Amino acid sequence: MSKKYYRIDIPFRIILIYLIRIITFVIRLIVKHYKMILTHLILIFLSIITLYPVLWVFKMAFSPTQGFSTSLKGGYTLNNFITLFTITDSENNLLMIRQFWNSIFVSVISAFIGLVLATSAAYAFSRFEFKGKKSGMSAMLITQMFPGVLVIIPLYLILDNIGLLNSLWGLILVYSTTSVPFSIFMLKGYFDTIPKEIEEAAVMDGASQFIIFIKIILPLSRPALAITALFSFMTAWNEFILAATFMGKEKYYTVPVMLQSFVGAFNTQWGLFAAGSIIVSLPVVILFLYVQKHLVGGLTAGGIKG
Amino acid sequence: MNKESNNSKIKLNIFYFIVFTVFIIILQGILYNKTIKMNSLNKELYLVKENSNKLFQKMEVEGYKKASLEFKKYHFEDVFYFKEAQDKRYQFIYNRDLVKSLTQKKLKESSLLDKSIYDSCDNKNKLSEFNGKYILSYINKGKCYSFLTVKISNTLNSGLGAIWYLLIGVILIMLVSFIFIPKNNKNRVIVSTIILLYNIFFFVYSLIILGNAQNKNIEGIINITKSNLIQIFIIIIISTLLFIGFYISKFNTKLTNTLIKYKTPYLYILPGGLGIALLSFSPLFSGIILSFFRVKYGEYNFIWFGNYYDILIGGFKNIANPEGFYYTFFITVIWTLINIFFHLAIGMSIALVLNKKRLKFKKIYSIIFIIPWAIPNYITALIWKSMFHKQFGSINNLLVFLGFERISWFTNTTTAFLANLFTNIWLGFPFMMVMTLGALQSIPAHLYDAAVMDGATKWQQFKYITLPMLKPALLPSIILGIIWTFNMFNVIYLVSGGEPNGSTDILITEAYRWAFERNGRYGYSAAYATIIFIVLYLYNYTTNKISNRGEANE
Amino acid sequence: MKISIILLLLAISNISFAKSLTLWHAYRGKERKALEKIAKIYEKEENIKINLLAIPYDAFDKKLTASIPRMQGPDVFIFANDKIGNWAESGLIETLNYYFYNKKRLFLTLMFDTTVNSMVYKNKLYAIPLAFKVPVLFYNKKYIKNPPKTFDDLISISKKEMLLNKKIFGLGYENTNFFFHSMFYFAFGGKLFNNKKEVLINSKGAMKSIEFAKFLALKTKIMPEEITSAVLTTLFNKNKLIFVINGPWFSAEIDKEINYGIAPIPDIDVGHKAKPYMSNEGIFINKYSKNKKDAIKFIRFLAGIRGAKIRMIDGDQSVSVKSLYRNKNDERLLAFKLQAENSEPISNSPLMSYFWAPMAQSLKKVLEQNIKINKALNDAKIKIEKLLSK
Repeated sequence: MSKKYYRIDIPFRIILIYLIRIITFVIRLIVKHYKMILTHLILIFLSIITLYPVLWVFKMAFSPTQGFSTSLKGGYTLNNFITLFTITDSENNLLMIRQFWNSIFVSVISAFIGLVLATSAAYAFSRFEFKGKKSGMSAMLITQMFPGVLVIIPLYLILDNIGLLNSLWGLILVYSTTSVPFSIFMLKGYFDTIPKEIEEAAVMDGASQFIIFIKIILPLSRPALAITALFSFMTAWNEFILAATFMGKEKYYTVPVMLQSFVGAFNTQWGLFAAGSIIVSLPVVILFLYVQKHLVGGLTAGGIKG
Repeated sequence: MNKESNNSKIKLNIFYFIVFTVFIIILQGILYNKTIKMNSLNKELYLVKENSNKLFQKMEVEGYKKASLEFKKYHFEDVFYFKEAQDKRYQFIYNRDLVKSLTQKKLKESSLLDKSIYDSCDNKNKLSEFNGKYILSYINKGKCYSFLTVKISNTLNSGLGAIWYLLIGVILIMLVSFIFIPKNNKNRVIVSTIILLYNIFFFVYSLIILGNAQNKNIEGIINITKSNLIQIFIIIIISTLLFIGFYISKFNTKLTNTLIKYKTPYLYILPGGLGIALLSFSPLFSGIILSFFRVKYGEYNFIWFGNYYDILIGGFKNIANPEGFYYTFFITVIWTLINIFFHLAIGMSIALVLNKKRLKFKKIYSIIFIIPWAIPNYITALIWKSMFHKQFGSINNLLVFLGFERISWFTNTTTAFLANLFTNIWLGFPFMMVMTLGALQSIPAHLYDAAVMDGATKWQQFKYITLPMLKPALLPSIILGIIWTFNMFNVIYLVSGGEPNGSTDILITEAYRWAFERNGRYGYSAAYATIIFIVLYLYNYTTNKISNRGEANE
Repeated sequence: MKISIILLLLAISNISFAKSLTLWHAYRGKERKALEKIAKIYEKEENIKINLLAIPYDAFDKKLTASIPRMQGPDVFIFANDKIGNWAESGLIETLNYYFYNKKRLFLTLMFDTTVNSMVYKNKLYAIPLAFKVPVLFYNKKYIKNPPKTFDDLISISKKEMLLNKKIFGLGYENTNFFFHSMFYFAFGGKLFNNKKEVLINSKGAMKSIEFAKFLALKTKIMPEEITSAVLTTLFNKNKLIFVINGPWFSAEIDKEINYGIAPIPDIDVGHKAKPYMSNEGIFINKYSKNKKDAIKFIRFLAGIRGAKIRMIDGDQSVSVKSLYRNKNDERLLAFKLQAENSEPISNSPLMSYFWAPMAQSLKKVLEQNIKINKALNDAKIKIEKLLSK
């Protein structure tokens, strides 16, 4: 009996000891890192709130019907994605790939042009004193104030007059200038935080204004440039009404136009719309992954050593 | 030496002025000619219309060939004569010579002429257009008589001409003042004022002509289409810019001097500024001008400040009306303030947490938090709307689970407003988070090291280092965030849709409804948009003043 | 700029080698495929290129009003009839009286009269009807084999089933949307406005119709609350809803496992047949089009029997051509035909756009906020009159 008891007892004791050890270890860990754990708990909670509505986008995207459903039950298929990628126009062009390429082309180039225009202007606003500086800044702001509802027809006329209707370059022209005022504002704010002493030192070394701008200011403001690029990209990426109005052929449309075409007078093809939304948001997430390097790296990566 | 260079500059300026003015005068002459022709034709057509009954009767009695001579006085090419058959179909009997010439010249036109005359007879005593010509028809005793005018297309409207007068007037007076008034003379101010008055006078005058053209002329003759209007807008913009430019420079070489002095910064700004001027300012100006018109079914009537009166004064009569201007404005302001507060609070705290060096999985977190910004908000806004459903929405399910009662979110202004708010906070915090993350990178690390050395607490670090350092880099995002939230259309339109009874609408949704849900009342909508613009401008102006004062105090 | 002009010229010269017609539409899915098929057939037979362009519904009107006055518009386009008044007054669309009333009037007798009449504005024909959309009754065959003939039947069936299973609902339709409420509104003789622009929404018929809607929503307890199309889809797909009144597009939203039938909307009571709104799609000609003759020819093909047959079979459209509804075994076709004969085309007057929101609001007031019918309708009347006076 006693032997038997002993035999059972050993593993039991060992288990008990280890259990207590583990528990004390966990408690110590918690006591030691309770702040970290609390932050993670809060972040996880916020993530759940953030992702909850997105869950339905996925549900609808993989649903076999086109209804706007609010329950997670029901079948799951890839049909919506297959349909999306096989939509063709009357000349048998595969529209999704074509329009996706258009979107990338238009957004990347207009983000780039917008960024170039904005950087130089923001640098002037930040570093030079000149007549009309203040009014210039508020003029930039003014363009953001007028609601976009009524700009379609004037823009149409302008593009028609310069012969850029039905051309992706027309869209690029419009998109790159719409994001410029914000970008100037954003970059000016950032340039202002870069200490002037750095430039003054360079001037002493005999560097020209332009060289300073290219070689010192730009590398230092990588985070702001990354964000501005992301922002300009997004402005062009999600826009549909101008693209639908200015383009005369389906192969010139951008992806958001296709997405919007699933919204009808009486009903919407939610399955296709949701699947399209996922496809549309992917490049943004990927781009953010890249931009993130300059943002979340912590202070050591991008910090300015004044 | 300075004087000499100034003199040469003045000479150069005179040269450009003369060349420019001659060019404008020639252009003006051509336009004036056309305008006059157009005007006289209008008058005569008006007479025909007025006396048409008499003329038609004359034709009945004397036969159409004799009567047609009379019509030719009024630029009518020829007379057509139709007999109405049974079933309201018309038999076409018309001047064969004309038809022959038409068929020989333009085969395509002839078949369409039939149709136009047919429609004209249907129209009864109204003018209809055919290929730049106008057809006037008259029906008497089952017979339809039609008259074709000479070609009057491609001529410009009288209103358009009036605006050219404005331009020429400004330039002429500038020239005169430039030549005759010496530098540093006080009279310059007087002349400038005269020019200003002159400009205003012609601006108003041309708009009156536009209004009259719409009201008094025969339908269809002066057809101010949208494209015409926009031509007018562009001309007004050019003349105003010219005016402003020269007014500021007071006709001396100050402008040139400034340009030379600040060459570098201006060159840096030029490319971006040009793009913005072309594609952002011209729509804005055209919008403001549009707000002085009553637009109904594509017709434009100049009504002075009618739209503004209706919105601002008319809205004043019933101030608590949820669809009136003042209530909507109140909601819009509250909406903006609360949103910006939460966007900033949430976005900034998440960014601060994510910026911690030792935090694990921060890349994953930040990607999760970016998602609301990445997915098109059209679909996510509607998902939020369905989450607020009374019987089946997950938010009410959660409330029941927590022991509360179900809320009917969209039948009460407060709850409907809250529903909008939750949705927009969810949509908007990622933007502020990303902006803060970027701004945080501008804070030098050594500041914190020094603070730690001094024994500062985390809170003190935040208060004395992070916040003040964040401010300059984050301020633009906040200002623009306010403007965008003020004009946040999708969320309001898709989530509450203004429910209940339009009490959660904001100004921009109201402007949209006027433009696209109430028969394209673009004028009214533009007036709303202009008011939004002015409000935001005033906001920006006052905050600028305040921040300037603050800086001065520091 | 010069380069772009040259490119543009090149583009134009490329197209101009043959005759061509440009057609804008907002179709998608099956309807779009059917249209493309018709265009291909027509291209081969008539040796003319048909350039099709699909435009999102939301952007359609904006694109038209921007492009037509600038001569950049299409030759023909397909859209619903509700904008006719606006477009006609703004001079964007061509009148078709000459082509279809002057000669060969027979063509129009192919179509349902209501559909043709819906395209007439101020005594002028502006479009040729292609297809119509009208709400019908969808019923779940798990609960009931034969559709009810009257609302009394519908209510008693619903109540019976709801006693057996407490989680289900009897009837669902978007009762605060005037498009669907119209079935009662016009059944009781309600009217919106007359020729003198007088607002007539507080008539007895209108009140009776809202009373009936209130009775359905609040007294019978067979309906869920705050109905949106999402709610209808979700419940019907879970077998939790026996009857749904919805447009033909609802079929695409129903799961494959659900066994359902389609029938005309039941009678309200003796003498009051449900008379829902009918939305009509037509094909229009741009006023500034340069090949109107070819356009008319193509329209005759597309709207005529051959085109309609393809649109009906391939595109699942309920087309406007009468003779294609002869097959009496097809429950679906029969339901649409019967309902089409008993429906009210949506007015194409520009005045109409002032009515949608106030009517929906007064419905919401009565059904969700417990406000009296009389007051709700009077409020709406005042609001509409204000809008009209501006």
